[in-house]
Amino acid sequence: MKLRDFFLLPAALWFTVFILLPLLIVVIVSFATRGTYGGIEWSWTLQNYSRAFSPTYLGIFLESFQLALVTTVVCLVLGVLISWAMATASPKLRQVYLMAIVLPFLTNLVIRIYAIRMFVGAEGPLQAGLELLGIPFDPYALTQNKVLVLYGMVTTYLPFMVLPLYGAFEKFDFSLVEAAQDLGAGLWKILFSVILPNLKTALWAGALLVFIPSLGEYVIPDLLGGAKNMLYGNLITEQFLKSRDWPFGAALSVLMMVLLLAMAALFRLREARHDK
Amino acid sequence: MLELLNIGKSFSSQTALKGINLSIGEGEFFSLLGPSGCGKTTLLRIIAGLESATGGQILLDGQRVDQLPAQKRPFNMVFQRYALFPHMSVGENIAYGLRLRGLSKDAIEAKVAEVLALVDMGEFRDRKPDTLSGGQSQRVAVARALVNEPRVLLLDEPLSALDHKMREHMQKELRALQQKLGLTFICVTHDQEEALALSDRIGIMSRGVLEQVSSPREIYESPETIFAAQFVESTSMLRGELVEVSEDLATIRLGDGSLIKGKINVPSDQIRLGMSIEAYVRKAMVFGERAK
Repeated sequence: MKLRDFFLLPAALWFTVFILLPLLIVVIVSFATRGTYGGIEWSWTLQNYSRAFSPTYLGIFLESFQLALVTTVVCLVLGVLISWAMATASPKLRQVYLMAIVLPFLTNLVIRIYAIRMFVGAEGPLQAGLELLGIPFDPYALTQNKVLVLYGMVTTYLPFMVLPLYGAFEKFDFSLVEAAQDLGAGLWKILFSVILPNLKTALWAGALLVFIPSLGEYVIPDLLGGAKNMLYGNLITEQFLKSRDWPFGAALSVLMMVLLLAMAALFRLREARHDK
Repeated sequence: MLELLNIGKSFSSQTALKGINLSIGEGEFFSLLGPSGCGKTTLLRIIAGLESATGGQILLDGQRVDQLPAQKRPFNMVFQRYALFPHMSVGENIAYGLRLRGLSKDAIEAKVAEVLALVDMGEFRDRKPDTLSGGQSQRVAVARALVNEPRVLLLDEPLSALDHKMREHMQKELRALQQKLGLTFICVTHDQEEALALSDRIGIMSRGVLEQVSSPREIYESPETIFAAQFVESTSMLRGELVEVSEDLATIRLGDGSLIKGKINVPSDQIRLGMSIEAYVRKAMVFGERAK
């Protein structure tokens, strides 16, 4: 055994024991049956999977997919603009921007989400401000809605988009923009025909980094959207906690993982073809 | 044809260009020569419209163009590092400007083929820029600019990224191309050899000022300023005493008693016999090679 392999051993061991094995258990459990009182009965069935494809659950999946997609698109648009501004700013200002992007990372997600709730909540500055201005509002609609969920999602996942894009923008050769200008291209044309094609890799990486966790996200929709929107993440948690249907929860998890892995594989494939 | 009137540029604290006046003729190969930081690239970028001057006017055939954005000026630029679009093939790079002008597909095809033939790059049409050598990239960059039929081609240190041998070769090519097309070229360079070899006229710049504008021969033989003399070729400075002046020819006695004669560049009302004077001597003139 080479020394290098020896150094890799702890990581490999850790990965096997704490990630691969548990995943294997999840896969095995997904083929089991729920016991009458919520336990696991070891009689094999595909029923969990067929149930996962029933219209109710498919609907929940589509809803989550939609939220993740919208989150990703919003993050993409904001991410491109922000990282563009960052990369072209003066070095000093750049540090400030970078801090502003990274700082929220240092705060716990739940605290951040509760902060948003406080802001829009009954005693919060938003409602107080609206009252002061005499603008009528529905306090219940204001505190828990889809827009708020999207806002929470975007603020949480934006750094995952901005950081790879910023890295790419920093390496981007801005004389290409000047060349395009010189050849007669307007701003939009430059953005779509010169800048974005050269950031393709970073755009895909950022989109994946945002899309994957947002598809499984359940804390933000739960806290900001109320119990109204059931999402795939909530669905899975509920199977394990409230419904005590571990096999079904496991099946849902496996399906989601397969989907996300397939997407990541697609991305790698695209990359590989691109490199050729 | 192209006139710069009192072009000035100052950044927040310092002045980059001071009242540049310049007139460039149709079909001329004009070089802006100077050390880095002298403002020559800034001037070129102002002409291209990539930077705006803080004062002055640019006229093309008597019409002001300094208020037009870069997109609308009938000038095209060859960038120092070529700035070829890496995600496009050579053909797509060249077609970029034509597509923006909404030419038909057939017309674009024909023009791209024509200009590729002109720079002798026909077989590279479908290659990506990162597979090209420096000289090939250079040709593509020139083709991409030329295909738009600009009134003036602007070249920013076009040969500086090439190795010595390639540079000499491309110099010849560039000059031949310019003469064949009869197009006005404005070329920025810090390489005096390049400027002397290529240009019809040279503008020597130093610290944001045009020191001298004249033909390569005049620049070489009768530099107007000490800077121009020293920049074009390394010179030695000798200090001595002025002993005789006849017309513009001065005789100087050096410390060891030896006499040298040379053209004098001091205004006549300041000339005094016996004054201390500096003589600049070019190696090429003193240790000249035997004529072939």
